[in-house]
This record gives sequence, structure tokens and C-alpha cells, in this order.
Amino acid sequence: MKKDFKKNLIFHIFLLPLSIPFLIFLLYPIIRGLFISFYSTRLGELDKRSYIGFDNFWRLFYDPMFWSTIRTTLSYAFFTVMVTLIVSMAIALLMRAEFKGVTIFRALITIPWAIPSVAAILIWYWILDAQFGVLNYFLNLVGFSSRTWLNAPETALFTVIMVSVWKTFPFVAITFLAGLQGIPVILYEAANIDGASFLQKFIYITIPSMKKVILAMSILITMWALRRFEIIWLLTQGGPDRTTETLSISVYQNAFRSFQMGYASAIGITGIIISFAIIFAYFFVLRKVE
Amino acid sequence: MKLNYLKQQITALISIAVILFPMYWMLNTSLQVERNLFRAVPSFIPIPIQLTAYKRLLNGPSFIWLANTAFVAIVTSILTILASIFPSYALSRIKVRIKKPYLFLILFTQMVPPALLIIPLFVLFRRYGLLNSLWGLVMLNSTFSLPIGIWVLKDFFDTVPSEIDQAAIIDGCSTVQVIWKVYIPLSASAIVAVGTLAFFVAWNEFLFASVMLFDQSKWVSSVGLASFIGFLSTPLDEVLAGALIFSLPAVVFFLLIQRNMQTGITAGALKS
Repeated sequence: MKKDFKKNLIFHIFLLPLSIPFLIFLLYPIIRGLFISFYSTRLGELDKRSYIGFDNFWRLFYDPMFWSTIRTTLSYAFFTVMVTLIVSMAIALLMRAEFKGVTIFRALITIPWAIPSVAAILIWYWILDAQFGVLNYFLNLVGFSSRTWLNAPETALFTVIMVSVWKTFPFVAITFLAGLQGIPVILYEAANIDGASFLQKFIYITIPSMKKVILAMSILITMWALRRFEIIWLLTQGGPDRTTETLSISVYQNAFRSFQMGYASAIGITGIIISFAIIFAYFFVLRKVE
Repeated sequence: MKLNYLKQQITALISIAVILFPMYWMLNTSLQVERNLFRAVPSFIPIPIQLTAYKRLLNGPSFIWLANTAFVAIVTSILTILASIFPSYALSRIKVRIKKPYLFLILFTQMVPPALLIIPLFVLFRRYGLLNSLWGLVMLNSTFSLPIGIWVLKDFFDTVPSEIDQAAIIDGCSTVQVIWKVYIPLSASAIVAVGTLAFFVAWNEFLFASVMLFDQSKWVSSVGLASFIGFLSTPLDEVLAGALIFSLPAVVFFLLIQRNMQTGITAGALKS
């Protein structure tokens, strides 16, 4: 009993470098946010608030814009995760190959991860420019017409997803590569003797051996996608016609553009609960897989 | 077999060309004469090369922003390393009941949208005079890179055989000495990986910096460059020259550290 107490004490002392900043910069703001969400209040006048109970949440519930924000968040997250997984897997397979120059390929292909988001967005903004952008120029060459990528409701979300994938895939590809390198070569050799095709080997050896890594990465990039802010904000600010307004953007818009702190916090809290539910679902699957 | 290699090489070349094209375009645009930028047929090679965009940057505040960014990133990286060692050890090696909730809490931090925290943090920072201070930003960045740091380092500590602990303790080492003399040297690559991850988090960070810093002289590069978006006040070549200079240190650092990153991160990540 006494020994347990000592162990617990040491454990908590060791954890102080984590728990102190967490309490101050994470838990306190979350609790404060929860608190604010029950009030009607404005930025800069947080002292002049009035308690309104669940009104902010009711307003949310009956606001069609909120439901469309949730739809946008979910489709943004879903497609970002799917495309990232596919691209990363393809690149990782290529990174594992043994052609001449593969080391240089491995080093170069992951560079987008190191490019700071703001710099990446400045360059994409210019590439995607409707009038002088080089993307439209290339498309014109092969017979497609120019598009206003970021300013048209039909293409904005797609464009934001593509830029997000470009920025996130390297990290996933590096992890996939390590996973691929951990698969015993014997499995492939045996399959070669049986005359299996590349696709068969991929489906029957690679995917099953990588199941856990793929799921773990899916969880991670889903969490990133659900909370992503600056890529979307700097590219579109949630527009056009709020077609790229995800929960994160919506919180920021309501807090710092319409100055409705209480309402913004209510959106944020709901967002956390939704993320929670999604991540729990993943863990449920992960457990089943194991 | 030969043909197979060739096919792979061609695929690799094409994917490099597509994925790295934005970087080339950034360089190309920053070196172009301005009248070449807005043409129906874009100019793919900067002839003549002109460096005036970079000269103009030198006279602007860009380098102060870059110095601020470097300060924030380096201090964040050091703090994150220091702060992640003891918690990682505790979570990996001390057997207590309460461990699970802590591990879950660390995961939970990855789900909270930072946009939600901004409002209360702003109020908190205002009260304690941390607004407009690079140290305030360092504290936030360190806090938010800690979970990833601990995640990586704990996974690495898990791979250290625990017999080493017992042997060292029998030799009369205290737990702190065990960490200092055994765990830290053994996990050098993971520690460097943690520092690098934190460095990139801080170098990249935009949201907190844009809300917390308001004097131009205190801005970091991400905020400064974001103020160029819209292309109205600053010429395009200068904007992209700025973006390039902002990216360059990160890319060089990344290429230098890449191999170590792969061993450092993946050793643990794969196991968990």
C-alpha cells in the first residue's frame, strides 16, 4: 500500500512537465470555453455576459448553416483521409522499390512536409490563379477550359482537399515505407514462386500485413483533418458561399468576425464531441482488427 | 527486370516533377522580371534572372520576422525535448493504474480544434501581459508539440529492455540517474526526432501567432507572409521570394535530419 503510494507520487512528479502546461493552456481554455458557451457575450466584453443556458446550443441545432458546416467538415475529412492514404501508399510502394536513385527519390518526394503551410499556400494561390495561374495554362494545353479554382462553389472544396493532401501525404508515406520494410521478404518470394501478380501480392500480402499501420495513420490524419485551420482559412476563408466552412473555420468566423463568443464556443464544443465520436469509432474498429 | 527498373524510375521522375512543381514555380516566379509574370503564356525559365525581389526583401521587415521565427522554433524545440523526457519515462516504465487516462488525455489533445482555445487563451494572455511576446508564443507551441513528443519518445522507451533499469538500480543508480545515463543516450535518435517535430510545429504555426502578436516587429514569418495574401500591396515576385526564404531553412534542416527522423519516429510508431 505504502509502496503504491510512493510509486504514484513519483509518477505524478515525473508528469509535471506535461500536466502543468496542459492545465494552463489546454484544460483551462476548454473549461472556460464550455463556460462561455452558456452565455451570450461579445469579444472584449467578456465581463458583460448574460447567462442563457442551452440557448446557444438550441440555436445551433436549428441553424441550417451549422448542419451544412458539419457536412462540409465530414466530407473534407473523409476525402482528405482517403486520398492521402491512397497517394501515400502508392508513393511508399515506389519508395520501397530498388531502382537506381531511389534514395534521392525518398529524400525529395517528402519535401512538401517541410514547407511551412503559409508559404505553401502563397505558392498554390498563385498556381491556382484563374487568369494567370499555371495550372489553368496546363489544362488549356490539353484541351480543358480554365476554372476559378478557389472562387467557384463547385471546385473550392476539392481544391482545398488537394492542397491539404499535398501537404500531409509525406508523413504518412514515410510511416508506410517503414511498415512495408517490416514485411518479411519470404512472403513475397513464396508468392513469386506461385506466380502471383503485383496486384495479388498487394491485396493478399501487403494490405493484411499493413492493416494496423494503415488504421493508426487513418486515426492520426482524421484528427488532423478535423481540426485543420490555416490551410483552409488562408486559401478560402471558408468561402465561396461558405462551401469550405468547416467547424474550425466556423468557430473562428463567429468569434472574430461576428464577435459572438458564446455561439462560437458552442460550435467548438460540439465539434470536439463529434471528433470524439469519430475517433471512438476508429478505436472500436482497431480493437476488432486486433 | 531491367525494364521494370526503368518503369519505376520513370514513375518516380514523374511523381517528383508533379509534387515538387510548386517549389520550382516559387523559385521561378521570384526570379522573373515583373512584366513576364502576367502573360497568357507563362515564362518557365527566368530570363533575365533578376534578384531585385530579394533585394527589396532585405530592406523590408522579412528578416526580423525570420529571426523571430528561428528564435521561437529553436526555443520551442529545446523546451519540448526537456519537458517530454520525464513524462515519457513515467508513462513507459512506472506501473500505476492511472496511466490509461493520461495516455488518453494525450490523444485527446490531438482532437481539440485550436480555434476553440484561442478565445480563452487570448483573455488569459492579456491578463498576464503575455500578448505580443515571443515567449508567450513559445509556451503555447511547446504545450501543443508536447503530446507528439511524448508519444514518440514513450514508444521508443518502450523498446528499451526493462532489465537495464533493474541492473542499474542494483548498481545503486537512482531513477533519475537511470534516465540520464541509460535512456537518454540510448534514445538519441528519438530525442532528435522529437526536437525536429517541435521545431516544425513552431516554424509552421500560424493561428496562435496571428492572434497573439500584433506589432509588426514581433511578427513571425508565417504571420508576416500571410499579410501578403491578396497580392495587392506587395509585388508577386517579392511575396514568393519571401515564401522561398521562409521555406528554405525548414527544407534544408529536413533533408539533413530526414534519415534520423525515419528511424526515430517509425521505430516506435510501428510497434504501437
